[in-house]
Amino acid sequence: MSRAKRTLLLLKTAMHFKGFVLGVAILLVFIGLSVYAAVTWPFEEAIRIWNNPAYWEDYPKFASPAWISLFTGRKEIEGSIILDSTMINPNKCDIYVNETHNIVNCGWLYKEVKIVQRAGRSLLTVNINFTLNYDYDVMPTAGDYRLIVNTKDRVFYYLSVVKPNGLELLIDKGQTITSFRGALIAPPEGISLAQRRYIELINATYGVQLDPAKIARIDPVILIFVDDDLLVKKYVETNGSVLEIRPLKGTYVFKFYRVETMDINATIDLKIVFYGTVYGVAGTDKQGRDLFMAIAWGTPIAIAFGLTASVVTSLLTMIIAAISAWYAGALDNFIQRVNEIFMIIPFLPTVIMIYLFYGLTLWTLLLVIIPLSVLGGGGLKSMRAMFFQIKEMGYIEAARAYGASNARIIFKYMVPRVIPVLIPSIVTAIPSFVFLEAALAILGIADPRLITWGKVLQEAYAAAALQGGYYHWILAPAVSLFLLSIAFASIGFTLDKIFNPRLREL
Amino acid sequence: MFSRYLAIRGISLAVALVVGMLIVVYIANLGGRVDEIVRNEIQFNINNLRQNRDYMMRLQASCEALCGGYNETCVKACIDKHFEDLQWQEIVNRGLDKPFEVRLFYYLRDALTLRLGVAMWLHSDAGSSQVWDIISERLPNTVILFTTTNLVIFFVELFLGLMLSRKYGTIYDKIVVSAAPLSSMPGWFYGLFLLIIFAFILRILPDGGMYTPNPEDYPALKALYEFNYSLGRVVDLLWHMILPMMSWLVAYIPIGVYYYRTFFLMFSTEEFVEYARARGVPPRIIERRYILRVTLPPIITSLVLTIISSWMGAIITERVFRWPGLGTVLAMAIERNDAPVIIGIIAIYAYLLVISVFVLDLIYGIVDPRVRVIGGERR
Repeated sequence: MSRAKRTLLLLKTAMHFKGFVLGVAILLVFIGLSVYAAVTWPFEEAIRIWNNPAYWEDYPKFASPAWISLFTGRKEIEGSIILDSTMINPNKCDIYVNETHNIVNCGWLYKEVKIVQRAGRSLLTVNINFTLNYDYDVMPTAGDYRLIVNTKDRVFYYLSVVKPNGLELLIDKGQTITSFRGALIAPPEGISLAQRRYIELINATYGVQLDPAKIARIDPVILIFVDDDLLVKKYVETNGSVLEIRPLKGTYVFKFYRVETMDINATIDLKIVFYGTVYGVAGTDKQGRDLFMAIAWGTPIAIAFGLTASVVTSLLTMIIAAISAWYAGALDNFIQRVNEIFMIIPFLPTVIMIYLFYGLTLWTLLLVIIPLSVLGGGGLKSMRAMFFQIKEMGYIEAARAYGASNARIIFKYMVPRVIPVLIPSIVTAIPSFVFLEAALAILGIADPRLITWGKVLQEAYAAAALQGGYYHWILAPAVSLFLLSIAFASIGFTLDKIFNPRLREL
Repeated sequence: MFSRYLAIRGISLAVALVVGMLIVVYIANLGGRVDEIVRNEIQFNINNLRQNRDYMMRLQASCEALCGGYNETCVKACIDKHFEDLQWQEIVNRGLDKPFEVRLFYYLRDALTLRLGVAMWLHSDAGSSQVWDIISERLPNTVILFTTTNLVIFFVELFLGLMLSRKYGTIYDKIVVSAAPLSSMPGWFYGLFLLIIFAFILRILPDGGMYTPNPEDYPALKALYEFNYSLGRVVDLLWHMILPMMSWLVAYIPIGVYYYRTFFLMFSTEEFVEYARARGVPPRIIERRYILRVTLPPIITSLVLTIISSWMGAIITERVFRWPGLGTVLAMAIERNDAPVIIGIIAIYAYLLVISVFVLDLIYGIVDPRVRVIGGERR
């Protein structure tokens, strides 16, 4: 029977085992994910993007995976709502330009730049209107606005929002000469302009005085989107003890107006970002980084690391055990003593010490863990016992009689006999090496140049993701680790049953 | 014959202990780089002293008295000599005057005689920097959690394995066989899932540590503490042990049960067992006399090794559950390059291991004549 045929037969047999089919299915998904990662973001680029906070600036922080809305039944905000006056697509906007006017109308964005004369001086004025249709069941998790100016003179500005119910809330006003970023969060102490204006607005519209101490704790981003009718109604009903926060659906207009500067060559733009509640397949972390990218890129690294470590360790163990059993005597004795020495040296502490000492990368780490696992592991002893049994068999005796070389007997006659035991154990051992990487990462020992599942786990743990309730941050790498090791373990166990029928009968 | 075998065994284990510890000492000292760190620290302390105005003024005064009045070159030389002496004295105190290759053997001698000495940076919660004190303070915490857990795991898997080997082919057997791959994941990893479920979503179990920091916040616990302080303490401790213990049970029992089931099954199909069965020996007796007795040596070995390996605690599990055991001390010592603490913990482990292996060899040699023949005759 040819080798290909035998492999096919083996696969056919294996397909009868549910565990094997499940394992292979999971593994295929992970391999697909690796290919997807490699195609989507070339390795160097992935590292650069991942470690560049600016790239993730506009992504929602701590966002859950998007599919959770299937369970909550609410319409969540996926990603961020970005209103940016520099994002003008000329094909979709009407543009009108003359000597003093520059008007762009894109529907959601209306931007008007004019040069006017006032008191004998030229003045640059800008008007920007963003129209936003808000039909989500949730509030944004945060928001900020950025003034992007390039000017030689002061810029005066007003920023307000007209809510669907017609109320106009002033968010900010002032003057600036540089670009800046204003956060729409409650100030640590005191009360912000928007909060003060909100109280005045409610007082003027409903004749209800809200408690400033309570409003001061609410982020302005909430005040922008809150349903005022409901809030006031509940507030009055409960004598001011409950502030009911529900989003008000409808069309919002953000007005950036009375923007003036003496510098007629100035460019003035506005970007407003409202951060969403969910993002992508796996959610985002503290910096807004897409966890799916880390999971995808962690996959080939985990598989490559686990596979290399497991295969090399097992093969070396087998070869050393075979040599030890075949030559016996002094060499065997020596190898046994070395095995005993390495059993005294504890594995994990030693690996950590060497890792810290040499500042290893993930791949040079292999040079440490492989010798330690080979020489200190229990596999050497059991393999050696197996080879001692094989050595006494008749066909080895026959080979010796016709004068086969030592190398021939070891590699052609003895080694093939243990392959059925070896292959399942190689597959089963892969997860333990993947988890070794994760364990080292949890202790803060990780290759700075790589994105690994263990590192995501460590970052989540260090940022107290558990305490903060950001379970998806822990679960994304943890579930990946879980699935990968279940896949390898199931495949390994099935192969063991097939190769070693004595176990199958039992 | 047997004594010769024992002597060979003893010598080879002793050699393993010495060489193994030599490697540990070398690595724990980062191949001599810890010396550099200590030298730099001494230099740093001396430079600090030079910046101290009070100290310098007193030194200047005594040097002037020595030189008989103010003489710039004499006073300057006197001050420099003072600091040089100070530095040298400190270097000698710490034994750094001899080269690392020599001191390596001093360290080895101290480790092998269990004179564990003084830690470089760490100290016990009570403030002692004696390595023995640091270890003995944390050892009970480790033993309470990990030795208990390991023993529970051991007996559960032995008992279930034996039971299942009787029930081969039943639905229970199939469940255990298909659950075995769950053990491809370590205990700390299950700890993460259990923490999320029980400590953070359901909020019915603590999220780490050994005792509740503020028992006053929990009325039931507070009442218990007031009723009887030690009882409250014990209940509080058990309360905190549930999650780490569960995570290890979930992680390690499936493969253990699977292993023992197969192990017992293999023995129960041996010829002498089949023969006994054919003779009509009752199954209970077969189990006890024909299977358990024969399989006892490897079972005892694994029990002893289980207890010993629990001694160092578990670095990652302790980190995940914030359990203040020896694993945490070891991790801290490694992070801060505190060689004496690392060497101390590993030296005790090595001794426990080597002595138990030797004692087990001795017992098996007495019980089982085959061991003696293989050990003594063939070589």
